[in-house]
Amino acid sequence: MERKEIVEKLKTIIEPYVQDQEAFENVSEDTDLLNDLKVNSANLVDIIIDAEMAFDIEIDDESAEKMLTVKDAVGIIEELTDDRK
Amino acid sequence: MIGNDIIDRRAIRERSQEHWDRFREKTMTKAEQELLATYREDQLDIWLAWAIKESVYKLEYQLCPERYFAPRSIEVLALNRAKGKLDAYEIDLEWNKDYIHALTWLSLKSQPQKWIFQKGKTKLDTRILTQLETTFPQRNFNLIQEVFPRINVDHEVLWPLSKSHHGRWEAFVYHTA
Repeated sequence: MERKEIVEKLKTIIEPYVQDQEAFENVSEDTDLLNDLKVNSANLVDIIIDAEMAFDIEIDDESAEKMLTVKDAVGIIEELTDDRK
Repeated sequence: MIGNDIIDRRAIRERSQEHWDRFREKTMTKAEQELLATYREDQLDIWLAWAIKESVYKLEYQLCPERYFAPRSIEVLALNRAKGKLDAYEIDLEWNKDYIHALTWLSLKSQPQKWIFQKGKTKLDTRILTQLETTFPQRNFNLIQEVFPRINVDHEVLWPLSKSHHGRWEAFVYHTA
């Protein structure tokens, strides 16, 4: 899957949990999920689960701990989907 | 050092059973799942554990201000006890049909003061100052937010403070020492 495609799919997963819509409209790969988008920590677990289901992957604890920014999340998903090839 | 967390039970989204099963696996150890097995209706077990873990996290952030996201690194040992970076924290857990609230403090300390109320037009910081000024009318208070919140009392001492909000509810807790 292309990185751009992952970013777009991830944005649709994140959107329902965003509490700062203005920040979401200006989302970039450097956007911090908790600090910038004001996603709460329980919803970060929801995002991880939604991403697992959408991309048919399993995100382990070690990877989940690193998912702080959009770039982190895309990198982890890219790596896990590449592993399937 | 204290922490607290409030969860508005009506603000929890409806999700599939598969989602909740995965949520439980990702956030609770096997021992926690067994400990809280009798609270599985409406996923209460998940949210009791989550409120405790969040309140412990907030306390641990005061001990060592670094971000981390590892829900299973904090373990609920009983409804009034948990462990994380330290072996034991005291927990006060309260829940009803509207909210779940957890308060964490260090062992050997007295239980902190807690306040829970529905959100209104008054900002949380204003409510905190009003409550403090009513309880301690002879003293002067300022709230400070440097990395984490504290109460400056008479420009002399700092009291630990923890704030929380979710959905329709807000809470704050503080220690008078």
